[in-house]
Amino acid sequence: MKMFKCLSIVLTLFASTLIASDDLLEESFFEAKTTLGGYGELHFNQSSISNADSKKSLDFHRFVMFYSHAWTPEWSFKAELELEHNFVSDGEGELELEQAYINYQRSTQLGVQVGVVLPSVGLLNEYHEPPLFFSVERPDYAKYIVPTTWFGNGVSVYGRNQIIDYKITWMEGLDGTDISHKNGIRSARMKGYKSNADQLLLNARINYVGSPGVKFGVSWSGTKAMGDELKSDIPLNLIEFHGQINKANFISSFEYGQISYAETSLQKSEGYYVDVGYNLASFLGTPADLVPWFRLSDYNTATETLAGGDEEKEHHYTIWKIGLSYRPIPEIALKVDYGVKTNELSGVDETLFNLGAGYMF
Amino acid sequence: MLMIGKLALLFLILLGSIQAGTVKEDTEFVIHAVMGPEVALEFERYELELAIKSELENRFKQRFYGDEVYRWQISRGDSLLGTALLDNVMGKAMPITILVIFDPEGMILGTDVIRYREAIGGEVSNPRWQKQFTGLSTETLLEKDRRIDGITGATISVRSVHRGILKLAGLHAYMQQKQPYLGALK
Repeated sequence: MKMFKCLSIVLTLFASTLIASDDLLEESFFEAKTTLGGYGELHFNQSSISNADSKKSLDFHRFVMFYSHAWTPEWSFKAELELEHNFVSDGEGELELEQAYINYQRSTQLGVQVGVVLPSVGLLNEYHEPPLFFSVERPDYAKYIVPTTWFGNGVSVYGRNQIIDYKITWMEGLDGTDISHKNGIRSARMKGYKSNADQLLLNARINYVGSPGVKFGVSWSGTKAMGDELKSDIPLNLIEFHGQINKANFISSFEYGQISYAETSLQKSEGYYVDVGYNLASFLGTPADLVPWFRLSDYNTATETLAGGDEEKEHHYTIWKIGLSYRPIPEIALKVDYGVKTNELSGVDETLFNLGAGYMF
Repeated sequence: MLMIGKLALLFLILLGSIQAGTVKEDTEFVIHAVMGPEVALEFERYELELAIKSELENRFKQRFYGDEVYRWQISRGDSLLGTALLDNVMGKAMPITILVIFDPEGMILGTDVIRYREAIGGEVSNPRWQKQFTGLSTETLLEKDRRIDGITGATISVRSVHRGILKLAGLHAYMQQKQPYLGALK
């Protein structure tokens, strides 16, 4: 309730600061416009465990349509509609409205989004077009620790100056009955579907953006994931650090995050990944990017549980990967990667080989 | 939780009190910052001839925002010090207003993003990124394989602003009566 009061005060004060622009140049510099964009990716995935037969699949994993209309320089609407796995029927595939918000940008320092919004958690939740990350699939970290794409009904306030970039989001919370040792908070997202608003999620992120090609930041997200008659609410906090460097042909990303839970058997989820790549374009004298890269990663959706023991090893994975990403133009990526994912409890190694083609515009 | 809410509230009130100038005021502020406070500015809407507009759009694979761009002739006394050109390029969904200041020979004296209207990708406004264009002649700028520094997560706006700067350099070359030179670039 306190959060609602706080939110309403913020919005009231914000509305009182609105001042209409009377600048003719500004008006003549803008016309109402509808724009289309999108991204998508086709994947070939092959995985094999020990000497068993390998599983192979071809999957048009994501097809996303971006739609936007700007009425004025300040007021616009933006939406992303996503079809996953090329098909929706009987619980297979997904059709999701990942973003759909009215955007008011008062100045560079202050803007507001209302609708289906994205909390700012880690590097990939807001920027996940295929040419923007190395691997064919998003890193496992960005699935099991930060459950990308994480979206929901709510309000975001954002802004930036030359040094920092911030975003604060109040949005629907999480369904505590779907929090599990295996998937952490991933299945607890309500995805904007008739979201229960008894408990909201507050998310705040700040990034350092003072040096072009370098970004470092931290975010915190907190809520009480809602329980039911049998399960009590689960207070939880997600804290993560992230960084990205793209300088002198050297491209690197890292993320570390942990989720702490209370009043449930699951106590903590934790993980990280580090990507390091080098763009060979300048050696080859071509405007196309060719980046060999490697990744080290470790994640455990149940790092700490009340029972401890094997429960804390069952969902612990270490991963290494190498790959090659080729971008003939910045908006198109052709990728290949190979790696091994090892489970701590079973000691089983899963070998992964992936090919991918992705685009954005 | 409440404490965080109060801090956020204070932060937003402070931000809300910041008033931006108009596009024209902000542009002239930047020109004065680059060229000196004492220079005289003469503003005009420069109408684009259809032929040169099409040629530049085809050459740089980017449309002009309209049929005119905004031009400031920068002078001190009787001597022309340079020309500033202002136009919009499209970001992912919203126009980005860019300024390029040239000396009479076509060397870039400064660039700036006057308005960035998107919620994401705003790093192209960073003066340290813009700085890579300063001091470049039109010839150097238009070298075929010239690479520009990337910005994490801002692919579309980087490409758009870069092309916009190239396009204005081409237009400036035309304004300076260097049409044959432009033709040779094809």
